[in-house]
Amino acid sequence: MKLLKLSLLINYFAIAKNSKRAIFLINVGLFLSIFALSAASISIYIENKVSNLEFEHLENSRAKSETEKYTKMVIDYKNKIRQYKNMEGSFEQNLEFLRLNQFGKAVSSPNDLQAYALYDLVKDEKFISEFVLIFDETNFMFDFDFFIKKEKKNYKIISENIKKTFISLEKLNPIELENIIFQRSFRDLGEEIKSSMSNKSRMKYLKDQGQFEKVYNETIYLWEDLETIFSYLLRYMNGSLITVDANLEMINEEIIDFSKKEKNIILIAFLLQLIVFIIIQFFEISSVRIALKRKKKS
Amino acid sequence: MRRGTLNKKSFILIFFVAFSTILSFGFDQMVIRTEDKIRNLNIEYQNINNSLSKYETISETLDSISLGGGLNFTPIILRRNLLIKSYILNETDSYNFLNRKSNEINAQDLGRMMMKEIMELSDMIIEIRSQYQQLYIINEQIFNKIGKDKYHSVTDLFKFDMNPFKKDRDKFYNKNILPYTKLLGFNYHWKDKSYSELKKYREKAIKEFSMREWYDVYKYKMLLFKKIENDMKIMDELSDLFILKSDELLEKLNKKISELKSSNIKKNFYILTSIFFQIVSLLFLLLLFRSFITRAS
Repeated sequence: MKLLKLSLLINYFAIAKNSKRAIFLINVGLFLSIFALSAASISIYIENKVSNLEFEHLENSRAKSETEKYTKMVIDYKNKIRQYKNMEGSFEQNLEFLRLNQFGKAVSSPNDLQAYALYDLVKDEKFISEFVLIFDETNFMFDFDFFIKKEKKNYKIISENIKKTFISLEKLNPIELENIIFQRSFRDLGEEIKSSMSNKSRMKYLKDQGQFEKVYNETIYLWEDLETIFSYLLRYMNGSLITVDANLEMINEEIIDFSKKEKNIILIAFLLQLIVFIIIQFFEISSVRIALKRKKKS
Repeated sequence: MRRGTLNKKSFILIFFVAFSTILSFGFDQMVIRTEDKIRNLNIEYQNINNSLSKYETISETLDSISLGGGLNFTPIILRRNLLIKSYILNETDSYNFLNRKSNEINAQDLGRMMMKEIMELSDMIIEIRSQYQQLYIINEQIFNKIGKDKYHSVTDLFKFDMNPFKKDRDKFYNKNILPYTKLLGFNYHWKDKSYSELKKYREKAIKEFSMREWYDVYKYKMLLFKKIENDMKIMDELSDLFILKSDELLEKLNKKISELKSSNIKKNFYILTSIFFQIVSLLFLLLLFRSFITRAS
């Protein structure tokens, strides 16, 4: 079955009255289709831009959730450092309290205070070398305007100190420390008691005595330095979050702006084409009238 | 109307109408295909995202078990030598440091404290292992998949040995370490006995254990420490494996996002292009009609 009988259509157009009406309708159709074409082109152009922005938005949102996750992690680590620091601090205080009398002095030794704290840091050698590497490679503070000069300088000093402490820790033998902690023989314990009772060290506190005294004292500062670094890191992350939020807001505004622009451009295109259409119609109708008048006269 | 009235212009216009319609249809098909691709990509994205959050949750749980264990473990290991040294001092001391009725009572008090410490530690091991087991049971397949290369079996990674430290007997004065294990009060050793019998056994030990036996209890405690430390190390290693897998998945996820991004852009482009050609086809159709009218009039 034919959908359209072309001959009938052409016959229909051949009637003058019909042709006038048809030409008007076709012109309206042409106008509308040209308008639709321009609207579609504008939409293709704007839609491409909006799609890119939408994915930029998606990437930023992902970055935001990642940063939020790491922020939580940094807060957790910071709290754990504090907890660990407090635990060690209270133990040291308890030992020093015990040492106020001869009994306490006899049952405590520098190794009791220092060995486990050091062993806990050096037992995973990979962790230490990775940590040193981080401070060799990472200088996030310098890429970010969020920090003032003084803080950047402080960060540099602290990271140098941390690196130095980790290098001293790297020199410790974890097996030796492990033996001191876990393989104490009856004789070793007895010797430790004897040595503590006859302790003639002029140093008042346990932390300032024994074979690991220097590196142990360095680790006390290490915890403080790490806490400061984590505080900086937290600020850095919060700063990043603020930046990401600002980016997201900007993208949102841009998307809204593009949608508004799209609407306005289409409206302007419609108005312009309407004007052009009216002008063409005016000329066309006048020319048809003139032609009809001439036909009548002839 | 006769055949052959269509002139060259009409043919060109008809050709453009047909060509635009075909193009519009083609782009419609592209939209359908891209939509299918996007649906599949979305399913893959969701699957990867689900796995990623699963791996992250497991790794976080393992970390928190290990960290929690560490926080409970540290205060006890820091004071590890205090009680045994006090006991030694009490037995050999001529200064009478401890201000109690007799050395015997002092020794019993210290023994009670030492016993309490090994019980605390064995409870700690049981707690850590049961937490791990809970996690393992609900994520058995994932654990087996992740740990198979590194561990012989992830299932018995934390099976609790009711007669531990058999290989370490040489480190003890008393080579039969069962009396020390029995102090922990596992059901395995006390299944047909009442709690009062266990209590009596412990009291007897407090009264009768010699210095060597208390040193063995100290050794037992240090081996328990080592076991807990090892458990925490395994958990950290497992957590690292899960983190590695999460990183892999994250990379895959980012790839999927990029694919989705380009597919979405393509889909939008195809939709709009299809509309564009539909309109072009209509435009040429109208132009064709117009040419008919102008020719007819």
